[in-house]
Amino acid sequence: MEIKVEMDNNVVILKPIGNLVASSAEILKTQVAKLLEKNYLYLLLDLSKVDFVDSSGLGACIAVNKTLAAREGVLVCAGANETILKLFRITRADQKITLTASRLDALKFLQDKALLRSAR
Amino acid sequence: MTGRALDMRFIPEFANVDLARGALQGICRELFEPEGGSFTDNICLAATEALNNAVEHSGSPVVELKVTADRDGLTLRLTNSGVRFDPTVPASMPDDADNPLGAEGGYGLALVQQLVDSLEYAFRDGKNVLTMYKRYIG
Repeated sequence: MEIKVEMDNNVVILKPIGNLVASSAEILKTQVAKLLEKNYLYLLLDLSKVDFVDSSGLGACIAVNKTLAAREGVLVCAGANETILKLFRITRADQKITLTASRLDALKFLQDKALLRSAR
Repeated sequence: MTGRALDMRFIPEFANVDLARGALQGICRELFEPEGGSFTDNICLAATEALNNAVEHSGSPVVELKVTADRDGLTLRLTNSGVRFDPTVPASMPDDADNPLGAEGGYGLALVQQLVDSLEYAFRDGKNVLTMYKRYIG
């Protein structure tokens, strides 16, 4: 799995390409740890190029969400296919991690969160 | 379609689970769902979770997966010579009360049990033998 990294203002967009599974889940965690070192707190995980996620990949998403939440950051997963959405639903992870259909929706959600935080 | 089978035997590494899943996806598309679909998704996720568990916990030097197809569906037989473990003991998803933001692991067994139509376990000749069956409803 390869992860492309993009920026949109203060939102970091991670775009994994491939499968997010036991053999690759650590790559995502490592990438996020590097971003946290630089104090990036708004993360968009674009899953539009991910075909398959197993429970290890899901666990990595949950771990990232927890790490960000502990720092008042936010994770949004966008563009997941029906197979991935089903995994989130069965495990109830869809109740813990914000999911949006499109990357644009996710970006808007995160930028609103960032604005709210800066207004505090 | 009767009697079609494929045996895979591999060193228990997650990267090899990826190869086994790829082969299984190919079988599903060849025999049942050319464009993919829920049958393929469900059996591939169940197999992945069962294989991941074998890689992570069994301690077996080799893992074997036998895929047998008939006109009604697929039977997967997963064999390893590691620690004796019965995956048919009822499992549930991790408790939300203990994990308000979600558990990072512990989903595998419950997923396997939810995604297949039947699951049988035997310990034979010093080996764990897990048999999963998924019916294809076209």
